[in-house]
Amino acid sequence: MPKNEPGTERMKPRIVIAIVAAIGVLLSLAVFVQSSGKPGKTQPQNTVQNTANSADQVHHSKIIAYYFHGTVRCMTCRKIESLSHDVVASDFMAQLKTGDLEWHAVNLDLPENTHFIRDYQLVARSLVLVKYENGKQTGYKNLQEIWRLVNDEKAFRKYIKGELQAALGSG
Amino acid sequence: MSPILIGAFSAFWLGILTSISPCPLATNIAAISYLGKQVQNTKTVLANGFLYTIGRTATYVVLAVVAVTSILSVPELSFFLQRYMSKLMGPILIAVGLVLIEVVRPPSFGVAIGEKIQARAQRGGIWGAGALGMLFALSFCPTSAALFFGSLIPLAIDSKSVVVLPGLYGLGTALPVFAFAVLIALGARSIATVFQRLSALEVWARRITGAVFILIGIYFCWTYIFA
Repeated sequence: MPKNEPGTERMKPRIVIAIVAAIGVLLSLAVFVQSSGKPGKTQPQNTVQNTANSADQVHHSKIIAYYFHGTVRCMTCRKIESLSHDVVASDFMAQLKTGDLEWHAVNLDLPENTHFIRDYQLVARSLVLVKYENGKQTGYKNLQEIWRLVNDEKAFRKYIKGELQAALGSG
Repeated sequence: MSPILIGAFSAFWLGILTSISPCPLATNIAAISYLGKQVQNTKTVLANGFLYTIGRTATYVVLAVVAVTSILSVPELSFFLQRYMSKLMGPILIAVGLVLIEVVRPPSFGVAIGEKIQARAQRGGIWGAGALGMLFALSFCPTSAALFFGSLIPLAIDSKSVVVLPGLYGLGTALPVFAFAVLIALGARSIATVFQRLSALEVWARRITGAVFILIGIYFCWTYIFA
């Protein structure tokens, strides 16, 4: 009776695992290549189409606080969004009601929103205060310190509040 | 303190902040596992850590030079790396994991040379640590992109130090991982020595590292490609 070569029996499960893994890796690469070339998914709620559309709706001076995120949201990104939105909603409710201040969360991974990266020279998930006067954008400020302060909640809130007060005060 | 020292300290601290933030946790676990896997030989663990640090540091220096001196815009470079490197990481990590647990073998060219390459690849030769450092440095997550492109690059431009400050940032990103890997390797080695299971530990450390790579690779594929 012919004997199997040493290791042949152990090779079988290895081959199966290797084939399954190879299929998995190839499938991942295929989905990656396909998703890189096609338009993004439907726009989620709270997403702003573009700067011009927002400006069209403006009839007076106001500030729009844009939180720019991606499709994949990291833990720190969620914390930044949550804390910033909380400051806006709790300390600036009056301005939100009068329309002097708006909050928009924008997904930068959607093709229609990628222009924001150039418009505001974004390098990461960001919080940007954009000033409009009589329907025209007159300035913006990228709040760069959010990533440095995110682990100090008190300092983070103070920073966002101060920047919003300064932006609204000069508006 | 002089502005040069403040800049140097800030760059190093930004690197440490990047390393200890939750965002690159998955790649840090893979790196710690890889660096500490050759527990039998402390010198190799240290050499792995050194090359991992060099790989990361060199990558950040090159990226900083490219960002500052080339026609590529910093926002475009940052988002290109964030979008595509995270998607490539999954398949790469799974492939490396499969080599580490010896399910697949890298292609060989000629028997003698092939066997040497194969053995070295399965052990994860120390040059692999340098390549891993480069790969993980390029896989920017939101936190590392914000701190590198948003904080370090402006600091490097202001300080007119496009090489030294990004280099210090790279050291800062690698050192906590390196230190943790050495501590784990030494701890595991002490336990294995007590139980006289050092050679068995070596085999299991490599298998565990391979499994960690595969699991993290699946996590990356699921999060950045399929989700």
